Parts: sequence; structure tokens; C-alpha cells
Amino acid sequence: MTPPPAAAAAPAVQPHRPLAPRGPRRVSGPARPARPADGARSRRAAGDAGFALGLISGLEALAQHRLLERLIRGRTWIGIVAFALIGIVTLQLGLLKLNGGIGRALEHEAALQRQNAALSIENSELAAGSHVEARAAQLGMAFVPVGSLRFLSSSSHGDIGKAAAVLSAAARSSGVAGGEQATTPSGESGESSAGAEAQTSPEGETATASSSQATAETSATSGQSGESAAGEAPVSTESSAPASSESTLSESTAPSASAVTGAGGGVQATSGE
Amino acid sequence: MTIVQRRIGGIFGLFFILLVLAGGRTLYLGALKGGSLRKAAATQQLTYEAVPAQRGSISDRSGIDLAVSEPAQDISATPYLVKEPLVAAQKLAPLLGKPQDRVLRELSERSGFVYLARALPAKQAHAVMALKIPGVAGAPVMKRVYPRGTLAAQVLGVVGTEGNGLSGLEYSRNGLLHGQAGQRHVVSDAIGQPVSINEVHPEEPGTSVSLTLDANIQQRTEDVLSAVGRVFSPKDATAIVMDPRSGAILAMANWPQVNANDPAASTPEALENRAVGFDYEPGSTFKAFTVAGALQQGLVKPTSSFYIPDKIQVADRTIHDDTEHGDESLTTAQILAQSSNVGAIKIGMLEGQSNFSKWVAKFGFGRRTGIELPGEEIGQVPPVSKYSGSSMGNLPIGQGQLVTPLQMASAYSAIANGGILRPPHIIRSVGGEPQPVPEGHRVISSQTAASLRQMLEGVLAPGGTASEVSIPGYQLAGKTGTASKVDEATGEYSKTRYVASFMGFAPASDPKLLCAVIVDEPQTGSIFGGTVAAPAFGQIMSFALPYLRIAPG
Repeated sequence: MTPPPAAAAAPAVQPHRPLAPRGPRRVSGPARPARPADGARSRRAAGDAGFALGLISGLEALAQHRLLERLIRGRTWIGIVAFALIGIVTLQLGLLKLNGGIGRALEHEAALQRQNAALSIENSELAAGSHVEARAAQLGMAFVPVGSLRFLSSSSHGDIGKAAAVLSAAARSSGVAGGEQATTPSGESGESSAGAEAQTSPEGETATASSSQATAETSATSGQSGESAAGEAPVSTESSAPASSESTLSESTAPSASAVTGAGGGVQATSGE
Repeated sequence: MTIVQRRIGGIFGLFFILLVLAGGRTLYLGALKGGSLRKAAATQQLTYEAVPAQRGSISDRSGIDLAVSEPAQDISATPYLVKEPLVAAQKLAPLLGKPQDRVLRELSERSGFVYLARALPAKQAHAVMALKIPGVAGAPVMKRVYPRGTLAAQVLGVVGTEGNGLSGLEYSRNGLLHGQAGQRHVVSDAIGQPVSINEVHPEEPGTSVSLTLDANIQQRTEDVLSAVGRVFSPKDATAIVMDPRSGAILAMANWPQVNANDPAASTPEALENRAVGFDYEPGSTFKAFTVAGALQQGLVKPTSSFYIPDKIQVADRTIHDDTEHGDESLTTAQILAQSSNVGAIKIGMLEGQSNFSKWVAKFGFGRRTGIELPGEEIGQVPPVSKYSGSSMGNLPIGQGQLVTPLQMASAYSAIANGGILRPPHIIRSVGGEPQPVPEGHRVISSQTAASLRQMLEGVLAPGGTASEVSIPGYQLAGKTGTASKVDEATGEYSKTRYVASFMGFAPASDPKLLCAVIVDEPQTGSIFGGTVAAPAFGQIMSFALPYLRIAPG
């Protein structure tokens, strides 16, 4: 049947339908490359999974390894475990021992500190003048009363000759190798000993040859002129402490009280200049 | 199931039960009682130990230790933890060196903490700790010990219970000497043995300080001052021995003596270092500076002659010489040797107020010397603007102004060393590093200084005010001083209270040693500088000169 023309001419009425949202359309052809961020993430995830799988499979392989199988089923395993346990225990014990050692070392350090302090205190007490004097008295020395020290003057030429003679004699008799040293710079050492020699004559004081020699030797070997040694560095006759004209106040090697003013040290030599 | 299998099953079951029991116990200890056990372990096994720093030592110029630190412990108690106080007190008392009843009283206190002993020497402290009395504990500290007791006690100073310097060098150099305490983290096992030790902060020991003092000269100087104290019963006395060439202090002594190991036994006045902290009117010892100024200005010569009556009128004051005499003629040298007040005033007036004031300042009066000691006074020197009409009748003879013993010694050093005023110093090295000698500046010419030295020889020569003092072989020079003190009640000069002093050096031609002795208010015997202080100077110098191997001259 042919439809009526009106109906044929009339526009076709579309039923009213809501427009469906446009979904992604499937596109044929090769897949487009994925966005880079997503791709890296997925690759990393795939890589991690691969690594984990590989690890698991590796462990599986290890667990099923023939050697391990033999090891576990055999008695060697017991030995290895025992060795490991003993090793761990030994390690722990060693660590404990080490720490204990540190503790002991610290205690030792403290003990040494105590000893050091005690020795410092003792040293200081022993160096006290009163203690030195008492010890000197025990050794038969007599303390020279303050103010009783006297200085003698020497005459120039006669005393020098006498001193040189005394020194030579003393050096020969004692056979000291340094005798040559004492007599070689005769002019200088002789002058220094002049004062010492002069001790016997004008004041009636006694001065031993050895003390004179000690003075002269000191001045000669120290390279100082005899005049300065005698003039600037009076030497106690018994203590025979080495004298040097360079013994200034700034030096820290000053002798103790008794060394300078020890027994018999009341007479000191000096040049007359 | 074979019997073997049953037995294996039985053993397995047994072990399983044991495992369950162990697991249960672990759960109980770890979860239920974990908190309290962790706390207990922390207190019993983990400790933070303080590691006290070793305080630097102080030694003399020869290395003799004058102050050292030794390990010690503060012993404390928690009284409520001490179960048998009586028994504990019996055991502790002899080790603590305290009466038993006192220890018992301390242990019975209603307190959570009490110190039984502070800084107990380590040996005794170990004995105390070995008793293992519950509630008694020890904390490591350092104890300051002064091996020579009274030697230079006021110079060295004291250290408090917390280890900080309270006076003297211990105070002024506390930053150097103190060091830094450390801390240690210690893990102990069940029997108290340390199993792990970690240093949280390592301790830093203090730096040692070496002084210019010489222990032997210091000792002798203190002995001499003690003798002065016995004979003249002064209020106090001080003496300084120094090398005038470098300003190095070789001895600085004070009387009454103080035991540095027991400072609490002394009065606060005795603890003061009067060499730097005592302001006094110097009296005639100051005349040397009056003459020095006039000499340097060319106003007088040693031989210049002055007409000297018995007294002189200055404004409203009449000043007499010490001894009555008729009108006479004295040279400048004789004025110094005989310590003529009238002569010194005449020379001062010749200089004029302004110049006189200038010379006083030039010699360092009215300001600190700069020595490394705390508590140094600056004295009191009136400026010219404050001079009254009678000031020039007072100041040239050393009255009306205040100085310190160290200022006087320092100024005399300038005369002794050829005219250079050098700041005195007492520290020789720090941590082994030598300290530079302070630089000085010229105040008078070497010729003026030489003239003065020659004139000051006359003081110890026949006819001088200290003619009885001599040391065989050595030519001495110096000046006596007997200064009236101001009576605080009347504001006038006292007729009974004096300061006797002597400043001197030797050998006069080339001085290498200077000694100042100041005796405050001698009560018995004499009051004059020539008879009280000058002999002490002689005794100190007669020891120190040969001891230091200073050649006669």
C-alpha cells in the first residue's frame, strides 16, 4: 500500500529521546601510546612484581636445591646451627667482656688520676723548705742562719796564680778527665777560683779544694768567663751547685733553699771587681 | 603407632607445654608488667654519670704545685631508705671523719636527701661505698687541695663546694682553670657491672696555670711576716718581692696566714689579699716620687741644698719633722736619707701643684696596676682641682692620698730598673704557653733613676732612717715610711695608729730584686718603718739575693 502524499510529505517526527552521553568511542587500529606517567608507574609495578616473583622463585629454587636438601637431611646441619649459636653467644660474651673492660679501664683511669693527684701533693709537700731543711739536718748538714753569708774580696794577680796552682793540683790528684778543661782557659778559670782560694786566708774560713774545683769546673765547662761565674753566681761550698752567670730570675731552675744555703755554704766567693 | 612414636609425641607435648608456659610468662612480663619493669630497669641498670672535669693546677715558677685537684665524692643519703640508722652511723662516722651522733642525726632527718660529706677524698669515699649501705650514695666530684697549706693562700684564693673559684686567682682565672664536666651513659648488668658505657659529653679538663711566684721565697717571706706579727702584733702585714726588671712577682705574702684547705676557719679580712686590696697612706716612702719629679724637671740636684727649719707652715697646718732639730741645711739626698718632712714639702712646693699631680699620675697612682689578681684597689689620689691650701703640705710627704702596696712596689720598680714603669704580673704561663711580659713605658730618665737609687742608698747608710739594716756584700737602697692613719672617729690623724713600711731594692747600682714590706698598725715594740718593716726587708732580701744567685754589688 502506498501512503498518502500528505503523510509522505510530512516531515518525519523523531521521537523525543534524551541525548545519551557520548561515551568513548572504540577506535580501531593500533593502540595509542599511553601517557608517560602512568606508563612508568605500571612498568615499575611490573618490575617490582617481577623482582618479587624472581626472588620467590629463586628462594624456591634454593630451598629445593640438591645441596641444601642434602645439608638439611644430613647431620652437618646440627653442626652448623650449633656453631652459629655458639658464635652468637661467644660474640655476646665478647661484647660484654669488652664493655666490662671499658668499665675497668675507666676505674683504672680514675685510680691513676687519684694517684697522680696524690703524687703531686706529695711532691709539693716534699719540696717545702721546712722538709728540705729537716732532711738536710738528717744528712748531717747545718743550716746557715740568714744573714751569716759573707762575700770575700780577692786581690788580683796573687790569688789568680794561687787558684791556678790549687786547681791544677786538685785536678791531678783526683784524676778527673775534666781537669784539662779546668786548667786550659787558665786566665779565666783561675780568676774565678781566686775568690774561692781567697776564702782560706783573710777571713779564716775553710774551703775545701773539691768545692773550689767544682766552682772552677763549672765555670770552665759552661763556657762562661771565670769572672762572671764568680761574680754573678756565688756557689755554696758544700752544695757545689752548678753556677752560671745566666741564672737569672726568670729561670725556673733555681735550687732549693738548702741547696744554696746548705751546710758550710756560708762562705761564698766573689771577685773583687 | 609404635612406642617410639608415642614417646616422641609425649616429648613433643611436654616441650609444647613448656613453650606455652614460657610464652605466657613472656606475655605477662612483657605486656602486663612491662611498664613497671621497664622503669625499674631504667633506674637499676641505666644511669647517667656526671664526669667531673679536672680543675687545672696552679704551680710556682719551678713547677711546684700550689693547687691541685684530686678525685673525691660527695656522699649523700636518703634517710628513709637507711633501715638501721644507728648501725649505719657507727660504720660511717669514722670514714666520714665526723662524730657518730652527728651522722646519726643526719641519717634520722625527715628528709629525702642529706649530704653526709662534701668532696670526701676518693680513698675514704670508696671505703664508704664498699659498706653498701642502702640509701647511701656517692657522686664523683673534684676536690681542690693546696699542698702547701698557708703558702700564698690569699693569692691563690679558694674554690667553693660547686667547684668554682671564689677568690684570688681561682676566681679571676676560673674560666681557664674550671674545665667542662662530662656525662656518661652507663648500662649495668644485674650485679652492677657496667656492660655498656657511652660518653654523652666528654669532659674537658681545665688549663693549668704557672705563676711567677717562687715557693721558697714566698715561704721565707711568709715566715718573716709571721715573725713581724709575733713581735709587733700588728693588725695585719703584707710583703711583695718582685723582679723590677720584668715586673714578675716572686712573692706576695699576707699576715695573718690563712689555711687555704680550711678557709672557713679564717676571718673574711684575713682572706683578703692586702697587697692589692689595702689602701693606705704611704707616708715617707712617697717622698722618693716627690724628689723624682723635681729631679726629672731639673728643679733640684742630689746636692742641692735646702734650708730646713724644724717645722713648716702650709696654709692652716704646721708640719713638723719627726725629730726635733734646730734650723739646718740639708741636701736633697740628705732630705731623703733623713726623711725630712719639711724638706720634702719644700721640694714639692718647688714643683708646684700641677706638676706634682702630674708626677703622681705618671708613676701609676690612682689607677690599677693591671696585675691578673682580683680585688685590686685603685687607691685615692686627689686631682689638682680638689687640692686645698694645705694639700701641698700633705701630699709630698705621702699623706692625704691612698695607694696600694702593689702600686708602691710597681712605682719603686721604675726607679730600680732605670725609669720604666711596667705593669706587674704574676702569671708566667697558661697551659704551658708562656705569657708575654707586659710592656712598660718610661716615666723618668735613666739618669734620674740612677740619681734616685744613689740617694736611696743613703737611707740604709749611717745616719739614714734604716741604717741598722745591711746584708754583707750587697749595697741596698730603699726608703722607710711611718704614716699616721686617720682616726675615723675624729677625722684627724691618729696619734696611736700608724702604717710602718719599707720599699727597697738591691743591688743598688743594678737592682735585680725589689721588696716592699707594709705593716699595718704595729702595736707592740715600735711603730717606725725603720725598725718594724726595714728589718723584715733585710731578712727577706738576705735569703732571696743569694738564693737567686744575684751577685753582690
